[in-house]
Amino acid sequence: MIEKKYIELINKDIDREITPKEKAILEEYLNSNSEAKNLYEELCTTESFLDKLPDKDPTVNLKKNILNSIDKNRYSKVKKYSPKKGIVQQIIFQTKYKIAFSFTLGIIAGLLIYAYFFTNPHAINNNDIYGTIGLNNAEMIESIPVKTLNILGKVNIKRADNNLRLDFDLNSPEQYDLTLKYNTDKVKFENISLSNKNKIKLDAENSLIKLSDSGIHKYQMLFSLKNEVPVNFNLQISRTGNKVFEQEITIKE
Amino acid sequence: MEIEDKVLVNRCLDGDGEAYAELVEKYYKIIFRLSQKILRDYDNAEEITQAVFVKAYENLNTYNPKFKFFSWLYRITINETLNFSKKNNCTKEIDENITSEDDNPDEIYNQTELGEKIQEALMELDMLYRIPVVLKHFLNYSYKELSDLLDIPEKTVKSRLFTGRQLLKDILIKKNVLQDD
Repeated sequence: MIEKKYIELINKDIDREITPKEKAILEEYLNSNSEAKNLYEELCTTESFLDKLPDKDPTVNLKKNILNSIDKNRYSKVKKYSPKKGIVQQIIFQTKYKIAFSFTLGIIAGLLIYAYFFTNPHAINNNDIYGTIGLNNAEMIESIPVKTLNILGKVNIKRADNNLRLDFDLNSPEQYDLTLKYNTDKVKFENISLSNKNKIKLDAENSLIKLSDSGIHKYQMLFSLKNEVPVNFNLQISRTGNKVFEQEITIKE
Repeated sequence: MEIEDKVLVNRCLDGDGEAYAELVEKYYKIIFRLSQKILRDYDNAEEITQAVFVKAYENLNTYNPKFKFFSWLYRITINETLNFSKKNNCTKEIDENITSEDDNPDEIYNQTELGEKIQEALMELDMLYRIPVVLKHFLNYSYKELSDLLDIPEKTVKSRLFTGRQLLKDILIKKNVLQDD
């Protein structure tokens, strides 16, 4: 019968974990116990047999298969485009979307710039002095009768938002001069519509509109308000240099 | 060598995919041979080797550099091998065609036959003993290192080694590979 502690020493020796002191004790024991010595030799042989286990190599593709199985970009620090991400990420990360987005943005910006600078419902159309000056949703503010020496008619004042239109409807068999004064700080002359261009003389300067005419004629003068009301106009009608009519027109609202 | 493994791991975690290829190159054969010795089956050993490296890669950010990379890799190998074994009941695989019934046990086997018989005998050992016996012999790890690797007490490592070796001896005697005096 082999004592348990010596079985342990035998295994420690085979495992190369035995201390020199333990080794000495074991050798002395083995020399005196044939059964123990027999066991020791059998266990040593068993251990050595493990060296005879076939040492096979893997197939040549194993390494390649391993590397193909892993995502080499798993730990990449670079931002990756993920097709599962939303439209914003697609625009940020994909070149073709970036180009399309930039082009569309440019078109929209261009249209906005054009709309702002080149289209204005109230812009002056200097070439078009014929016909009525359209004023959507205009309200009649005041109607000023004109009745003086052989000059009859009226001046209707209409307003739509920040636009004022003075509609002159005058009849005179003789030549007259019409002068309209206004404050350029308050209003800006935009346009005039004349029923018969060839028969009048128009002289429009800053803060003053003068025209000379005779007969039955209608005029429309368009102004835009620069500031809030009240706005004042001074209308004068003269004949042969003599003032025959004057009216202060105040637009309050 | 160990410092180099940690450098490669760090490079890999910094986004260098090629660094892992170097680690695979260093260890894939060793892992394969270990798996093959424990499981005997060639194809399964390849499958497990691949699984080990994939798992190691996916969990590379959990590797603690205080410990040897190779030990960590072995730990994954042991787990994968045990999982595979449980799934496929690999504890006892006996090829009846090669069991020894020789009349002359003193006959000299050629090395291939001997190796096969030893592999057979090893396969008869329960995994509980087979793994520490194989690891101790081929890795030459200390009891302490085996204890860390297998996550069992040192006393249990010794117990399983001693018992496993004894059982293997008995199996080899039974197969007439080892003479019983």
